Amino acid sequence: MNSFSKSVILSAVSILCTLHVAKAEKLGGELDSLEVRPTLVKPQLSLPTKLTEVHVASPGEFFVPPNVADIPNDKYGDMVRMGREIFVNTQISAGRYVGNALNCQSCHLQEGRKPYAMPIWGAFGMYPMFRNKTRSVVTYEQRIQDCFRFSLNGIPPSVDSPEMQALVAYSHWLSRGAPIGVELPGRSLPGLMRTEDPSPQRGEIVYTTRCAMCHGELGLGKKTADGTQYAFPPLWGPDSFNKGAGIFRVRTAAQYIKANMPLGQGFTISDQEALDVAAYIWIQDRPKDPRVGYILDFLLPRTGAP
Amino acid sequence: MRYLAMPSKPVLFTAAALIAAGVIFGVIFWLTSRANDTTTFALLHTGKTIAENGRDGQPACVQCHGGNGEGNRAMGAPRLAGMPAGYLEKQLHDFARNPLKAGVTLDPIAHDYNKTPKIQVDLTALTPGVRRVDAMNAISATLNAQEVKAVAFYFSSLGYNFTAIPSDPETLARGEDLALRGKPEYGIPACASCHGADGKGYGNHFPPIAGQAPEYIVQQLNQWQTGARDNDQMALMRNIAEQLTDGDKINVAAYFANIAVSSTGGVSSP
Amino acid sequence: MAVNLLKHPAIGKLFPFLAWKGMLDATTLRIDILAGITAGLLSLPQAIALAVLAGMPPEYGLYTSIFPVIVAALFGSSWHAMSGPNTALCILISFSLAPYASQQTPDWVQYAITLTFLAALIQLTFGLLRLGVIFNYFSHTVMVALVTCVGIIIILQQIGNLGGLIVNNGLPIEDAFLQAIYNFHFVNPYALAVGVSTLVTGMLIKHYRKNWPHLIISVVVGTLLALLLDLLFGSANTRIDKLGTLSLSAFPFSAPDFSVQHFSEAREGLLSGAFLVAFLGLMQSAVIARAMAVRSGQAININQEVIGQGLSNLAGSFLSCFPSCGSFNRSASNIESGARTPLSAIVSAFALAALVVFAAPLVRQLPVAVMAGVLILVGMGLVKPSDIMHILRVRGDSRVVFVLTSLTTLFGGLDQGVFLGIALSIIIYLRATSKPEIEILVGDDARQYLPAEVESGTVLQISGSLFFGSLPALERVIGDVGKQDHFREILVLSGEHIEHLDATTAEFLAREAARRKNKGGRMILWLRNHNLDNLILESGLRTALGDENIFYSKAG
Repeated sequence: MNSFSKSVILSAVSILCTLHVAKAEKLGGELDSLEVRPTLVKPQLSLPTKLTEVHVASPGEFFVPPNVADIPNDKYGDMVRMGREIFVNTQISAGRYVGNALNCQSCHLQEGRKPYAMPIWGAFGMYPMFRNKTRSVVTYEQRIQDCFRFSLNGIPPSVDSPEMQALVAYSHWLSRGAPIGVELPGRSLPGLMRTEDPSPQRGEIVYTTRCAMCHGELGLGKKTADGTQYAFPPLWGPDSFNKGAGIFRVRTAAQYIKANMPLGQGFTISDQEALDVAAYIWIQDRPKDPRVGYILDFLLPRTGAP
Repeated sequence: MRYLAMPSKPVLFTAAALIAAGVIFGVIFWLTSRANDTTTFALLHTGKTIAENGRDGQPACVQCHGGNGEGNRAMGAPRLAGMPAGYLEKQLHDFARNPLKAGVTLDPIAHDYNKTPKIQVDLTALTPGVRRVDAMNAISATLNAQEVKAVAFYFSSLGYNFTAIPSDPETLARGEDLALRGKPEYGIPACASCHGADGKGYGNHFPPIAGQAPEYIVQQLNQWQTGARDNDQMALMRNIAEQLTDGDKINVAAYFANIAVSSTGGVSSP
Repeated sequence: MAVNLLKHPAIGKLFPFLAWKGMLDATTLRIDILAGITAGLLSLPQAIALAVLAGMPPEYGLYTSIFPVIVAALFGSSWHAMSGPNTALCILISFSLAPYASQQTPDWVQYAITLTFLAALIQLTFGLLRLGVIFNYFSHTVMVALVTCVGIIIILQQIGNLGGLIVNNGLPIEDAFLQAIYNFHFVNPYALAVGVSTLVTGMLIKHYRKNWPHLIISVVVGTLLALLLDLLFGSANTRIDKLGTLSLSAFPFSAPDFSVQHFSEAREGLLSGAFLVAFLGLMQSAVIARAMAVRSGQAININQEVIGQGLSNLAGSFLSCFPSCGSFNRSASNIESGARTPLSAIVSAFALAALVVFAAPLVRQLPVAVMAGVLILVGMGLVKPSDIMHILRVRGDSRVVFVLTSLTTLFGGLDQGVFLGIALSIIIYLRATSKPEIEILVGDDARQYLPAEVESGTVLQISGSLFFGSLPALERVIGDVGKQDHFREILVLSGEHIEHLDATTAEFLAREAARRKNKGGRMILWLRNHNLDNLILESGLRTALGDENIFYSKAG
């Protein structure tokens, strides 16, 4: 190669480099129409261009609870309002009994109305019922007590306390018109098909791409600016539910996540992704199960809720 | 009271050395923190200059967004004062990515249905995103990254005072229903679950809705729906907007515009 | 002439604490502060337990142990009596409000605050009208009956809570007790163990170590046992009901609510309840103040005490407190620890407030069964079998009164019992004062009253108060004498020990004198001094008897 061609090549390369550098200085750059849009992760878990199936939510498919503006103006309505306050803002209205940073509404989304997010109107009519967890027939009040004991990691209010009465009144009002003893659509969590064992490693990737923006990189939720409450609830850590909660189970968590998460985009991740991220959440640290004594827990560690 | 004996010389010496080290550390720490103040000041100054004078012949920010960043309701320019700096930065970055060149097609808007169908979700939305407003696309193309940071920082430090816009109680009730409970039967979450019950937003990804003009909120929801604004993470807002009727949008905008917000402004560390 | 404003008597009446302010030298300060701190720390379990007894959330028990105590100490008369939640008052509150709201609901709390305000007004009225003295006349037997039955009610009500059973406390107590027995197979063995341990510890300490504070030690023992059981078996298996986190505020402002929706439907109950609360509170405070006065030698002004109680309840109604009055246990332990001025009560209030702030995490773990055990211990302290046996063994009115009041309280509720108690006290008092002693004097005793020229006649010695109530007895005796001597002989009334004579009796005597004179007899009246002269003249007794038939004793 003679010196002329060398200098041409050199100058071409340098011009190209300069242009490249200059381009990089320009804001945003211009996307080539053929350029694959950058994702946050490699490897890919599911092809992002695949259109996924969703449940068609047409009106009339799910039970529609009454409007909050229609709460009556009598003593019963006062109880319902008190119960709604406790449901929506458990930290403040039932602060005596709550042991972590969650509200009832953190999981029973949209004040207990959302189908597939364990809605209250679906549950109220089914109680008293036999529960595998306690191997006995439980009443609705006892079920709420278990919510306080496990999911809210707190002290359960006694069944005659005003907080319990208020919550029952709210549940009763919300389920107004729902048939008793009938399994309503939207009550249960959807079934999952499993192709492989859930992998927490893949779950971590799902978590960082889909969940971390709201629930925080460390899964500890995000507190509001004044630090008094959580804007997005923690999924593990001392302020989250304990190991006795139903949602601690990998299967239950995966079903819930599949149906509801990311918020507003239920049924957009695959079954396997849901199981993976549930497994990732399962291995994290959280308060201990109150059903197991410390000594027994140490000697015979539990490997998962029954 | 017993008389305490004087400690020995080595002990005294060690104690004096520790105290001196602590004092020196404190002074260094204070000096370095003061250095941040100059960075803050520089950013504010740059941002203010650009906001008031514009760049490369493009109109200045204050011409449309108001002298104190309070926005211009008639022109459809939103309030910028007090918005989170990270959020404003991202919006400017997204404006600069020209959507037409990226090949985005704009779908026709969904008008008032009796029954809003749920549209299949397209997961191509894992992108940094684009946002199509002709004026803003041109303006942000002229800014570089450092200037964007300065402008965002400047506007986030401004104070504002937004008076509640009254509306009729039925609209407000329906809007409150949507804001606090969403549409459960459609799977639309409550606005408050991300934007806060008072519409104050959270962090850089969930901007405040309270304190914005209702027309602007409705316009943004329309843009989410058509795809002209496509810079939400994981298509969260697009999903929601696709299932709102025109009436819903008006109601929820009226509810949030009915909240009076104000702030005295001020800076947090950049 | 310079006048020291602080020494003006009116200022002393308005600000009673100025009386003991000067006593605060170094020694007194030290003793009082120490006594106050001890009393404050030890009153935590009782404060919470009594709030639960009154159907209030536990925070209100703490408020009631802090704010009214300070006001009563500043404005009351006794230097050693301590105010605070009172067991009998708490039972009374729960009985009064039971028909109108459920326990621990906001409605109940609002009614209780209104009740406090009304009771305060009634108490202040009594104090300002100087009617405080009537509380000294309340029958002792009735008080013993009421207090004993309060103890029994508490024990029967709390037996269910001791075992972790949910017992509907709105029922009559026999039903509540039977409910606890019939549901025994639902009892929570862990809660029962915790409750029984609290109870047994308290009883043992009271028996073997009287100096130790048995309530707080038994609370600590019970709580530790509950924590140990949770540790060993898991809290979801032991299912011990606990108190929960208290949400306290430094200045819990409140106000009585007389609006239509919060007052009109409970009007009768609140007004009658306020009257009963005011009365029962003042009765107990009077008894306690007198008992303390006997031990300390301080002269108390009962009206000032009543005003102090009224002011403390008035302040309490604006600071989220339910009605309070003097507390037996706290006053007794206060005086035993050597406190000299009401400063100890004020210090105890602040000490309790400080304790609650620091001990909040421990209070959160306090089991309900431990509270039940504490209440049963308190109830057992109120039932004193030796006193009851003493009253029941002595024949007479006391026995009847005791049994009647007890049955009414137990089966009708404490509100009915207090009403009956007030009525019985009035009846007993009237009966006692309406029986003048009428004796027939004979021999030399009679000789000295008969005029010199008269051989024989009837001499009656009358002592006591003569008023319209005593008229029947007098009529009977004088009528009997008249039947015997056909009104022809001399009847001498020796009235040297008559304490009080009213117009009705004087008119009656005048009529009897006239009748005797008409039939040929004669009535003579002996008096001690000239105090009754006006009355005798105005009622016509002097004209009926004649001046020659009225004699005055020479010697007293």
